Amino acid sequence: MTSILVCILTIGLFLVARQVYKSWPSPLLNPVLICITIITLVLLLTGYKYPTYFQASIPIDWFLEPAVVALAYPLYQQYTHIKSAFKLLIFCAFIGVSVSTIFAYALCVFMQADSDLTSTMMALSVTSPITLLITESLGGVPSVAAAMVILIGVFGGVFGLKLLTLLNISQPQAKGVALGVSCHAIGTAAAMEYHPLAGAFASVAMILSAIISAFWVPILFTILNSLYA
Amino acid sequence: MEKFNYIIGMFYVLICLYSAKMLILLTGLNIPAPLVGLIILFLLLKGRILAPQRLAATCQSLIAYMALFFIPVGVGFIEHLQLIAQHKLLILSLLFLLPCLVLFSVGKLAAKGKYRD
Repeated sequence: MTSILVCILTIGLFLVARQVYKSWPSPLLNPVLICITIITLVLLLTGYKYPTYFQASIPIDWFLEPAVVALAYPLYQQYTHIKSAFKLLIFCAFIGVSVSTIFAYALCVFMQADSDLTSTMMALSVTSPITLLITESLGGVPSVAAAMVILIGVFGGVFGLKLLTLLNISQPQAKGVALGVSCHAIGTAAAMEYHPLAGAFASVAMILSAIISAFWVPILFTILNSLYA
Repeated sequence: MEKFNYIIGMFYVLICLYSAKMLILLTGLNIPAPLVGLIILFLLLKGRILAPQRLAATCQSLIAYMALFFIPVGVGFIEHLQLIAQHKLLILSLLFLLPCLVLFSVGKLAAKGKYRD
């Protein structure tokens, strides 16, 4: 009974947040950001325990893994369209993911973060569902990593395009790739609004970053750990 | 007939996910299974073993609502407020510096490409 009610409320809240976002499509009104903030506030105010909430919302959580597999479909569709740029996109995603992981590691070492937190910050250049999976396998705190990724996405959604123009990057394709790798789903949404080509490149770059992160981040993390220790 | 495509598509998606989990169990690799499942499904599509139409409805709706599916885990950061408060400075610096740095490096690199419109 409770589980059904919790699912109804969570899905209902998400649908309302999506409707709000459709009327005012600003990255600051991102539906996930709004939903997580509201549910967190409700839990804090009512004293309802998170593990109880999570148990009850497992039916929703169950769809996350199939949804990640489903990303193969848009990847395949885009692959047939932008075959010629595919290798460059793989390289861009590889560099973006590596830069992100190495920089985050260096900053964690510099600021003397403990190992839990360091492993939480290793996979921030991927969309949040994937961050959850990778961070979990690295022994970090998945939900904190996901929250970081969402906020990075919001930052990129608000400032990304302006920043790229400031850097003299003019082709919509290049802007899309940069947004997809660095600012994931929210960056991709911004790219889609800006230009259809930017959107297509962003979504492929985002999915490629996810695949590359899954294979490369654990290896890179081990290398960095052995270098530093 | 149309609406049954959701179930047919889900059937294939779950087969890919399960195969990926088996593969990881057998090899002991430390890679999230859904990403391996993604690659399996991509290869099945690319190798024309699966027709894309069979997956269109399921995949498009799963992806359209992907954001909803990670809300339950996403709220979990509530259990780690202390950790976040302890490392405010590190977290805030990463939030600003990381996207700028990656936007810069990937943007400059991608701008070197020649794109056919």
